[in-house]
Amino acid sequence: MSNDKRHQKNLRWSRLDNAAKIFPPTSHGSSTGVFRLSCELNEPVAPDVLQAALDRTLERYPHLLMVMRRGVFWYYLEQTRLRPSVVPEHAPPCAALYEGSQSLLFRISYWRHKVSLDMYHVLADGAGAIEFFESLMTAYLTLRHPEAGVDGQPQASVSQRWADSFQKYYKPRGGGKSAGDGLGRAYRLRGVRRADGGLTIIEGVADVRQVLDAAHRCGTTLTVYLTALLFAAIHSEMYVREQKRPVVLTIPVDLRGFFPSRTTRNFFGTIRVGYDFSGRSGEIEDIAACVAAAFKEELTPERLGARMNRLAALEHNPLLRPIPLALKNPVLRLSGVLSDRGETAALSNIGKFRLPEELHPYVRGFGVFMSTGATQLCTCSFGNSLHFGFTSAFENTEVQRRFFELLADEGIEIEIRSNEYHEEEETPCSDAPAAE
Amino acid sequence: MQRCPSCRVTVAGHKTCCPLCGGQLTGTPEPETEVFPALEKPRFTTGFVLRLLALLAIAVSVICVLVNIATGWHVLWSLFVVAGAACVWVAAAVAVAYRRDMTQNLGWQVVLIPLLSILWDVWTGWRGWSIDFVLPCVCIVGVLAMLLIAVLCRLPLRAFAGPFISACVLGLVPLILIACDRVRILLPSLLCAGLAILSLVSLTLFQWQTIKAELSRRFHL
Repeated sequence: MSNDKRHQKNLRWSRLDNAAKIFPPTSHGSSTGVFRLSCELNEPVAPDVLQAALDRTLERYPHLLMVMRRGVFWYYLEQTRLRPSVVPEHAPPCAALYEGSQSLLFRISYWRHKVSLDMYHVLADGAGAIEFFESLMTAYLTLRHPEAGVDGQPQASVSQRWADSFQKYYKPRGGGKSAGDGLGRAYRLRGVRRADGGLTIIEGVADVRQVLDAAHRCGTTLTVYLTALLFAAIHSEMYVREQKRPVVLTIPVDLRGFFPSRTTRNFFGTIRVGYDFSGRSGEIEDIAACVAAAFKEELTPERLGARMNRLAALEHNPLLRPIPLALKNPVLRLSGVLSDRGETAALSNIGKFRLPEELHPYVRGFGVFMSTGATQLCTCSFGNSLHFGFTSAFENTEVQRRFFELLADEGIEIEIRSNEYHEEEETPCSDAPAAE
Repeated sequence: MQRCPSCRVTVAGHKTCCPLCGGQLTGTPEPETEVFPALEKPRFTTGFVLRLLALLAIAVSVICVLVNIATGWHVLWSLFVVAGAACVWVAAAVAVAYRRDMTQNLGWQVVLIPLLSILWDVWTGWRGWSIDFVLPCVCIVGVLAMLLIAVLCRLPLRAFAGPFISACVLGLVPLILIACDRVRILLPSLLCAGLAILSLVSLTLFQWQTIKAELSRRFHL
């Protein structure tokens, strides 16, 4: 038997990591469990160069070439011989990727000046996907502009990237007492869900220096400031009688900052930050102080580790494991619904995208969007451009409008992009003079 | 660049209204700064096809019930139509859901059709036709069809091992039924059991590694 043939017979496969297990049962409607990273260039994308760059990059990320299959007790990832090809953008951002066991779990698409990576959360988390996307864009720009003269960077080994860090750091009975979950039922955003079951995408771009100045005027950091702004924006939409419920934001945290790991698989936890508008002033400064205090309390290795262990303990529970998948799915779906009740919206700060200095002139900026069943804001920065990616399952854009209004109040210049097209020219805008 | 005076933001691309407040925009549109393509809506979605099939099944059922009432209650033949339409819809829904993977589709049909037949048999006064004929025949057809698809599409065994093994194991059930003396017409059941045993034995003899790997993946805890 040839080596190649034997290799095909012994398919590589892996379990879903602890965080990934929740996505397949809860992916439905606008909450597809898919997130998008996009990169805007200063020139139109060359598809054949992008394909070459993708093929080259995937040699270093073979573990992304996986399909998801149903086992009797759990889903699992299985190696596949399918190879992705770059396609013109034909699906809305964060559209579902999993279509049975014959579909890859990520997609590279391009449109005009923009390259997009849509990734199913089962395969990687934000930080993992960013590493892959940065490698891809570096490879693309290096191929496209050999004159830029970029050296290869040292990389983590494939086995490091495919390590399951949840397993590595799991301590049985390391759960500790519940933290941050005691916020109770949260205020839920109201609104009409989109008829097509998709997402309303509003993207804002601002200069990071202007926003940073505004944060400093408020006496706080950028992340805390943006979190406080989102609280305030949600507050403007609430009725007085609804204020008895706290506004709770779910914030994913990259655990690599707390537990050393170079995996590209999921390795994140979430924290919840609440603010009670009925009992406090609702001033930005007060919200910011409240958020900063919550961050300080929650963002410690002990707190995050305890939470991680509690979630992992469920997966390691000897009574739950042998339940067939068909019965497990509704239970996990229900737990997802119950957990959603405790949150108003989600905010994800992805951080900085990094490319070699020589390639900066070719890139205008990066963007991030995450699918959601409610409203979510993702922020990221590249160079001096700060990106706000709002995704929402609702048609109304009140929270987004208010959020950008608060930024505009601080004198910050914002450019808004959206995927909405009002093709019926005769539909008047809401404040247009009514026809006689 | 377009600008929304009330939101105090610039708006990229060519929009008729402000994406934030829905108000009118000032300034000149720059369509080349658009970031998202205008997408065509898909004509059919899976949900739409299933709803269309459901409408068909319900329409047939309703018409038959109404005709049944109009022509007198003495024989409730329309109940058979309603149950039949429901069964056809369930089988069609499975076919639509697994349309991308034919062997898996067959695998589910091999389970579903005998199950529905047994229910029908019980409901219409047990005559045993479901286990005499339907179960073994469906298993035989399922196993042979999977092999045919695998040969035609040159599928490696691992691509269809799951549904194939399940269908073969189900093919052993007629043997158990014979042993329990529940089967009156033996030939279909014997053929089915023979095919299942031969398939399983040859898989074990020649493809043990693949089978072992597939089982360990599928049954991991």
